[in-house]
Amino acid sequence: MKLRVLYFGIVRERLGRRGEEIECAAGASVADLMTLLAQRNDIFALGAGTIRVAVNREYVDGDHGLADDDEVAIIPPVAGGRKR
Amino acid sequence: MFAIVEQPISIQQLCEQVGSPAAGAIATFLGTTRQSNRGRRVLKLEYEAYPEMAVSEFEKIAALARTRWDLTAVAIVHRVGVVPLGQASVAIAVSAPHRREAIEACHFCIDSLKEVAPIWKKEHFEGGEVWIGSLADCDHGDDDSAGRAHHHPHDHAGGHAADAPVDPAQPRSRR
Repeated sequence: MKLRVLYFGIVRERLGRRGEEIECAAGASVADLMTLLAQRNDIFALGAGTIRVAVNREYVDGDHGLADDDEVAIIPPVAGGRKR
Repeated sequence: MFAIVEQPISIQQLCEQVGSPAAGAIATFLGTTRQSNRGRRVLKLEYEAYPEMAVSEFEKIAALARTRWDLTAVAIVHRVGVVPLGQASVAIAVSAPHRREAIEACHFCIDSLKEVAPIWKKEHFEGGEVWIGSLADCDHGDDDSAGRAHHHPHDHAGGHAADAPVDPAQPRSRR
């Protein structure tokens, strides 16, 4: 299946692009996609634990199942985003 | 009104939008860009948003506030791009029949926004630049909170110095 992956902030800057289409195995979860991305670039490994993911503009957990044509946003820590 | 804008924010316009004969109070919050952060002299601040989702999160925050307080209207606007020092990067206006509700809900809205809104801030300071809160920004910072336990980026075990694009030994004494 095909995903539209969006990058922002430090991730966008490190990758040098705002997004890309990524081909992923059917039935893949958000965690599977993150594993795939981490194999491609260190920024995802470094950001593990702080990067959040939104699918179709909603925050989701790692076990969220992805579907063809999903818009997947990689959300590094936000401007005011200290957990409290 | 819930929006991401590239132009200066008009709090007056926001107040007009939430104003109503049903309201007895309008509480407003403006977040403005500060010239210093953690002892660094800030040259400029640059904001980036995931606009569609940010607006959706603003709407959710307002809807949640409405379940907790008796409100008339809520408006939330965040500016993106370079925001000159001293200008508003975010504005919230909440109207309600009574002032307590308006003030409490306004406070709730800005705190919620800071946690969930997909908006990023890059600080350009003397000697470098950093994405606030991010990987290389060792202070894990909510930059406008006081009383942090750590003031030095290397206080954190296993520091991220190798990842830092900025000089980690920036003087902290100006704080």
